[in-house]
Amino acid sequence: MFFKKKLNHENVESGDFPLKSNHPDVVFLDNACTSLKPREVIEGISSYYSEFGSCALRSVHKLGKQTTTAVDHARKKISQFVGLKKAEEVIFTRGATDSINLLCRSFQWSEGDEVIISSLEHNSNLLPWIALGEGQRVNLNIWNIDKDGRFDLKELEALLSKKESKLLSLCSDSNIIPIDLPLAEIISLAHKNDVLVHLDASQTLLHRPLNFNDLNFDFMSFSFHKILGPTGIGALCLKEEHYDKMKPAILGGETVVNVTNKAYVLSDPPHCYEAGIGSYAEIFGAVKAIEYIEKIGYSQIQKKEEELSLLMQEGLESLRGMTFLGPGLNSHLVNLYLGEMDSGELSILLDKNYNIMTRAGVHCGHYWYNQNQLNPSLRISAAFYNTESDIQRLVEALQEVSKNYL
Amino acid sequence: MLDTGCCGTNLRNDRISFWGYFTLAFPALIVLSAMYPLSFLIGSERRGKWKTIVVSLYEMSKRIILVPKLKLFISTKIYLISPVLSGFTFKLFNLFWMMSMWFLLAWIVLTIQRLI
Ligand SMILES: Cc1ncc(COP(=O)(O)O)c(C=O)c1O
Repeated sequence: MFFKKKLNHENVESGDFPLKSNHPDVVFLDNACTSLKPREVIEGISSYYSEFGSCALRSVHKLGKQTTTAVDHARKKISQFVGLKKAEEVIFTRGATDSINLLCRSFQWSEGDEVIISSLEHNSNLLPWIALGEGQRVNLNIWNIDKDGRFDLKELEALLSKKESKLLSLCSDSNIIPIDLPLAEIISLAHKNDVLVHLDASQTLLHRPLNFNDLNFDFMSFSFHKILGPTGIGALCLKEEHYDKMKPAILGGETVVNVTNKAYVLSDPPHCYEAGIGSYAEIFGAVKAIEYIEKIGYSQIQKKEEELSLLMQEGLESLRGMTFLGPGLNSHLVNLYLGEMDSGELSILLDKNYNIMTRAGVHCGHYWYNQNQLNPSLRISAAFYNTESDIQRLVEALQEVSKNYL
Repeated sequence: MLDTGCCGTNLRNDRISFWGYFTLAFPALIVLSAMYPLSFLIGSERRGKWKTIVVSLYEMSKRIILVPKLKLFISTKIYLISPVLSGFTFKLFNLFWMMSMWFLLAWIVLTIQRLI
């Protein structure tokens, strides 16, 4: 069509998500970066300021006690959400990046220890380990996942079987390409070789459950902003027995029970790992996010995302100039090239011309892109609150771009 | 270059140097395109090769980073009127720009010559 046709923005389900009501014409397909927030979460955050407004664990007045009770409840709720037995097995952090850094710096390494990660990790699960190797003599081994998402478990097994290997730190889902790692097999391989397993669950919990009970891993990190919650809050979850292998790397208020001029007595975990005032408002929001996910249910979430993935697959696979990174299309996350077009320019065209929010670049996976000599690409990531019409608009937009701009 | 923080949109590994293109490939593209009618005299196989070279030179022009923000600004404004025209502007922006620079250069040289 030569002249621009008027866009039809019907069918936008905005009810639960105020951002959708405030921007009814926007299609948000950058959910791997951060998720939208339900009204309950936003209200949960403000309820802290309007109804509690105090410090947990410190003040004995009634508002302080109420805050302490609410934070304890939140910790319990989160521990149950990830299949842990005790609330104490959840350490609040600022997000996944903070959690991984905390694990990296608090773990008591011995000289020569080795950490294994995959080549597909987000910078947040790569840089802390590189930095650890610079300071102490802890070596990093990288298990290769190629540009089509192929990997060799034998290669991983060889790394795990080295006697120096101490920890395997892997994403349970990637923010770059859709990949289905055989986690149960990997975890049992690691444990057979006495290697602990840390999962970076940042890209998982919005889409499917991940549970200490089912998979028996040792540590898990995630950010709440990726699972409907607020920014600035995350968790490092771990089995209680692993506290023995750790020592807090950051100290301050709440981390000690007594101090002299030369010594201090640490408080019990998790408090000794949570230096400084807590992000209470964000914790309140985080609980609401979990409650929202539980209300919808993972089975509903997965069903909806499968439908959206199928629509994307049908709409995109035959487009002129379209190539996909990774194993394929049947996922809520798609990473693509459109001809030779620059991913940044494509993302801006989608935004400015079609009001579709996507993400361009190397998605904090510089290492993987460099290793595979790949150009930056465009990532489209849907979530259960996206609609069929969102996907339809995306497909129509990409059809038009492919026709007119290539 | 599009500046979008740490996400690395600027990390393309197949960029083409502006000066290389401007001084070599662009003049070649203009000359070969202008002389394309002559290709009908040299047989269909050679004409095919001629066409491939012209198309490759044109495609290469898209890989140059040349005021991308302006290119996107203009294309997205034109989109409000016509997607086809917008796409046309987007695709040919680098060539328009280089053509203007050649004209400017020619004008400067001619003006200096006249002054001398
Ligand atoms: C797989 C993965 N790990 C870690 C992170 C870092 O999360 P945050 O920036 O919330 O700390 C991200 C964020 O995109 C991610 O996708």
